[in-house]
Parts: sequence; C-alpha cells; structure tokens
Amino acid sequence: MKKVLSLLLLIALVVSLVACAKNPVGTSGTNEPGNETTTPGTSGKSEPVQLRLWVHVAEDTDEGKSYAERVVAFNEAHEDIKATIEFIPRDGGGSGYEDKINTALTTNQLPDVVTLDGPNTAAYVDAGIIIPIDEYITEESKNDYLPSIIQQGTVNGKLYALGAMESTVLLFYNKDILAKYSIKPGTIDNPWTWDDLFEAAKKITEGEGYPALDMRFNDIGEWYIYAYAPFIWSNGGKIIGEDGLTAEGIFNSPQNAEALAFFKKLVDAGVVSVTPEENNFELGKSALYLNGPWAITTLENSYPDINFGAMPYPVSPKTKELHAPTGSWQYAVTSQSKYPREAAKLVEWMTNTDSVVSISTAIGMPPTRKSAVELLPQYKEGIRKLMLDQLEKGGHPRPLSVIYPIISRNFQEAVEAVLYGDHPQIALNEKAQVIEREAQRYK
Amino acid sequence: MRILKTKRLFGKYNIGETVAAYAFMLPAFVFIITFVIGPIVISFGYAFTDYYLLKPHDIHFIGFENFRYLFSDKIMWKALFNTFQFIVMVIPLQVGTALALALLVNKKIRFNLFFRISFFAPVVMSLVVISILWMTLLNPESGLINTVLSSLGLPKQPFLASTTQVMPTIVVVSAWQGAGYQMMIFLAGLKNIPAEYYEAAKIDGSNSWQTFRNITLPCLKNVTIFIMITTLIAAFKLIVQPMVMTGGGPKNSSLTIVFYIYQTGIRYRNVGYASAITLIFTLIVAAIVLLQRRLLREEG
Repeated sequence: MKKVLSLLLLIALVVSLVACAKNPVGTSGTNEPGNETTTPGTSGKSEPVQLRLWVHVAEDTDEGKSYAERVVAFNEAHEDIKATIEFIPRDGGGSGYEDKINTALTTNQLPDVVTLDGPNTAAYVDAGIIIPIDEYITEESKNDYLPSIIQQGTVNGKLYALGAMESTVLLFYNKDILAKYSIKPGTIDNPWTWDDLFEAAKKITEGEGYPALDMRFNDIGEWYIYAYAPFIWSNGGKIIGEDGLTAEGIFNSPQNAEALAFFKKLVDAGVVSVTPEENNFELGKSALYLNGPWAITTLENSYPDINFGAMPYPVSPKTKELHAPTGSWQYAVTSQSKYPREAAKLVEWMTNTDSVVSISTAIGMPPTRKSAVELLPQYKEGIRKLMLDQLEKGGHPRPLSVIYPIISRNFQEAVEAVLYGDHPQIALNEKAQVIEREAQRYK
Repeated sequence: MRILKTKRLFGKYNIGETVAAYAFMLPAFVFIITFVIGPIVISFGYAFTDYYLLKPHDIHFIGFENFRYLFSDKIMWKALFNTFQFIVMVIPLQVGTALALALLVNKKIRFNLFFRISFFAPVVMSLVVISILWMTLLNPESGLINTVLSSLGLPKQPFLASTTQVMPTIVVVSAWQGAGYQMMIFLAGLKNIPAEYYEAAKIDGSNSWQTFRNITLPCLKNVTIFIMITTLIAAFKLIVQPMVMTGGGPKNSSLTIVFYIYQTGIRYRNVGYASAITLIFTLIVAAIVLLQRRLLREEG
C-alpha cells in the first residue's frame, strides 16, 4: 500500500513539473488547417516564415485578448508568415517580462518582435538589441502616426520602434466645486499658469478645509518623472544633456530649482498632501487631480456621481509653454531575428489603424494614428479629444538616455527630498552629482 | 541479502556501504554545486567585471575598480546602515515577542488553538499583501491607527512618511509578521522542558520570575540561539516591505542593502557593481554569523 501511494505521489510530482513548464501560446484558438499546410506562396518558400512575438501582459486581460486577435488576423492576411504570440506578464518577481528578455539576451533566445516601454529605447539601441525599421515603413504610414510616437521610437535619426497606444496625464477637476468658488478651468488654448493653479487650490482649500489638489505624491516610482518632468520643461529647463549623460548644470539648473520650489510652495501652503488619502477625488473630497486616461474610465464606471472635467497641464508663468507627459509601450524588431522584413511587417501590423482602434477600445488609452482617431468618435470631443490636443500641442517624451533608470530614480529622489523639506537647489545638486558619478561608466 | 565481503577500508564501514553512502549523497551534491555554490562563485567572479545587463556577451575584467567605487558610494553605506538599524531593532522585538507569545500559548486555557492559529496566520500571508495592508492602516491622514490615536487625543503620526519613524515602523510590521513562526519553535522548545524541573522549583518555593530565569531560559538556550541566527539572516535580506511600502524612502531612509543591490543590478543594469556589493555584504554577514555562534556557544 505504501509503495503504491509513493509511486502515485512520484507520478503526480513529475506530471505537475511538466505541466507547469511554460509553453508559448500559439494562435491556438483558431488552429485552422489553412495555417498549417504549405501554401504555394509567391515568395517561393515552401514553408511559412515563423515569427515569435512577446508581449508584456497576461493572456486573460482585455489587452492580451486584443493582441491575440490581431495576431490571428495577421496570420490570416499573410499566408507566407506565421506569427506566434507569447504572454509574459510584467511583474513576475524575477520571472517578469524584462527579466525574461534579459535571460533571452544571454542565451540568444530573443523572439523576432518584442514590446518595450518608451524610455528603454535608448538603452536597447545602445546594446544592439533592436534594429532600425525605417526601410520597412512607408512615408505615408509614418505620417499617420502621432509625432510623439515617432519621436519616442527614434534614436540618432533612425526609427526603431512604434507604439499602438499613447498615454498622458491631465488635470482633472470637480466641476461642482470649481463652480462653487467661481473658478474657471483652463483650456487647451488658455491653460492655467502655476499661479492660477496655486490661487485656485488655495481658495478651495480654505473654503473646504481639505487639500484641494491631489498630485499623487504617494505613487513613488516612475510616476514622479512621468508626471512632474513637464513642470521642469515648461519652465525652460531640461532633465539631462543631449548625450543623455551630462547632469551637472542641466539637472540642477536654476530653472529646475524654480520648478521644484513651486512644488514646495504647494506643500507648504497645505493645498496638496504628500501622503494623500485614497480615492479622495473620486469621493468628492479634493477638487483637482493629476492622473492618466485610466482615471476617465474609473470615474465614468465606478463614480458616476462625480461631475468631472479635465484641463491641460498648467504652464509656467515664465514661458507659458505647454508640456505634457507622453509615452507608452512599443513594438520593435530584435537584432536576433532571422526575418527582419517579415518581423517589421508584424510590427507595422500591430500598430496599424485596425490594431490601434482595437487596443484603444480595449483599454481606453489614446490612439496613436490619425486614421484611427477618425474611427473612434469618442476621441472627437470632450476629455478624450483634450488628450489628443494636449499630445499634439505639448507631448514631450521622457529623456532619451542609456542611463534612463538612474535619471528617473534620482529625479524621483530629488522631488521627494523637496517634498520633505529640503531646499530645491541643494536637493538637485546632490542628485546631479549621483547621476554624474554613475554616468562616468558610460562616457 | 548477501553482504559483500571486502576489505575494511574506511574504518568500520566496508566498501559496499561507503560507495552506497557516496552514491546517495551524489544527487544532492550535484544539485548544491550547480544551483547554490556554482552561482555564488560565478557571481563573485562578476564582481571583478563590468557586466552590464543588456550586453551579456561584452564582459571585461576590471579588477578592483568596482570595489574602489563602492567605498565612496554614499548611498550604499546608507543602505548598510539602514539594514543594521533594522536588525538591531527587529531581533529583540521579534524574538522577545515570539517568546512571550509562546509562553502565553503554552498554558492550558480555552481557545488555546485559536490563539496559536491567529498568531501564526501572518506568517503564511504573502509579504506583499501584508505590506499593502499595513500601508493602508498606517496612512497619515486616513489610516486606522491614526484615527484611533486622534480619537484618544494623541497627535497623528507620519509613520512611513517620516525619515525617523519609517524604519521602526517597518520593524514592527516585520516582527508582527514573523513572530508567529518563531513562536512555534519556542513552543516546541518549551514543551521539551521536563515537568519535573518545574515541580522541583515549586517545591523549593521559586516564584514565576525565578522559575523563568533559572529553568525556562537556560533550557531554551539552544532554541534561542537557533532562532536568533535565523531571524538575523532573514533580517539581512529585507527587501519586500521597503520596496512595496516606501520605495526606499523617504530620502533613502528605508533603503536596505539587498534593495540597493537589486536596484543597482536589475534596474540600473549594473550587474558587475551589484555583484561587488553582494560580495562585500556576504563577507560582512558571514563574519557576524560566525561571531554570533562564537559568543552564544551551543551546549550539548
């Protein structure tokens, strides 16, 4: 009896080990015979070109399903190419998406097409992981993309990556509260200046007894540079030098110190909290809220009582220039791909008009092609149109740099230091030094 | 079964038994070399290179340069300091709490099992989940703890939003999570103390404190040493709580050394430098653990 039990246990153990091994997901839902048989293709090849694509989301999400459908459609439209998609969710504690790419680099197992986040483009290009795709994309197609998308994927004048979705941040406001204090919101043609923001926030805070502004200072991480860098840019400053490595004199410029001093002013006046309460805008407590497109869906679906609107980023009174966050994930062809031409076709397909419409509908992020906007009526008006206007007028991608993660973290630490009372210029000087030190390795 | 009659080579064991012994050890040996010792040696090797994560085929030997860099790295020393600060606070708190809980739960009272399970429950919860839960409780404005404090007329505390309070706060959360596990071990140790000792003490007229000091504690010596070493090693590895709760802040005051190694190696992609920090850190830990074993020599 014991022997039988232990044998069964052994079998169960072996089976579970085998079953848990990750298998790439083919377009399994639609394994039509047509995909498997050889086709007398015009290319003369007897077998379809096999492409592998990795995406950074889980299969059973709306985003994942959208990608899977588009790959199926790609295979149907291209008889001589067969693409397989593999889903590797971003955070897997060591087995997450970026970890898998790092491992594949070491073992030369990279797929033909990968997704990558905008700020990683410079580092990937520098390491020779992805290849230029200019020659495979027509001028006509390139012109259909938003300029910010082309800029995000271009390094040293060459186009490496294209995105199917955009992203930005808006200043949401509670229409009722603003009306109560007779405050007029900013518009795309007439955005608020920092002074307007301060005055409005002060008035409301004094009246309501609650910090009127929520800038999400509690979201420690990439959010800091993503959401707050535009304040630097609007004030005429830059984050890092053209080479992506020089910080001294640039990262800690007086203009940047001014921008951070504005944050300090907001905190000291009590109009914004460094540790805001959860969902305070959604619950009607605060009146002004800095957040991304996902907030629109959340508010519409879960908090219908809140009468909300949105306005563009506030601008520096010095330059009155509109700068706003932009950038999200893109597709690129890897240098290890044996079929760059076909892989580039896949990249273009996953960012063509239909794909952009599909993903935009699935996850509520702004579309990246002008032709797609035509097919998405919700982007012709209201808050969604404002996002596109803002992207067009002031979309400013994060700095292009090989040491981007170091810059992002040190920017975050500098802003954090100011929020906790440090003098802006001193905080910036300190972090500029750290960046310079790290940058020495790459010079 | 016939036993091989062979020469007695290794003292009292014959060849057949010796070969069998080594054969049994072989799989475990291979496993340890491949998955534990091998990677450690390779990792220490990387400490002398400029291994950049995205260029795994472009590695060069750079001698002691990483170590020279390390000594002037202010953030690394801060991380090391934070880690030691954590250790010095968490060990007495966690071990002490575990002992107290074990003593409590050792009594024959009703709902004894319920208490044991409740104290042990945090141990089986995911550290990430616990960190998120505590973040909500500790929110300076709306958290439950501050609500209670202010209703008692006490000022609200910043907890995780203060450079001075953040580490002690993380200590409390960690001790809360881990004490249950050590409680179980102490419990086993307590149950191993012969009842006769306590009876003898009672007869001699010893009070609770004297009994505790002269019988319970000495008998628990080995268990306590084991628990202190394991808690120490776990404390050195602290990364989840600061990563989830504070991102290392405010102003790097909750950045631990393992967190900094992760940040340097994975986020900054500087594997060579991160390996150098790891090497130094390993030497420090080894020295401390050896020292601890020396000072608390086990008995028996």
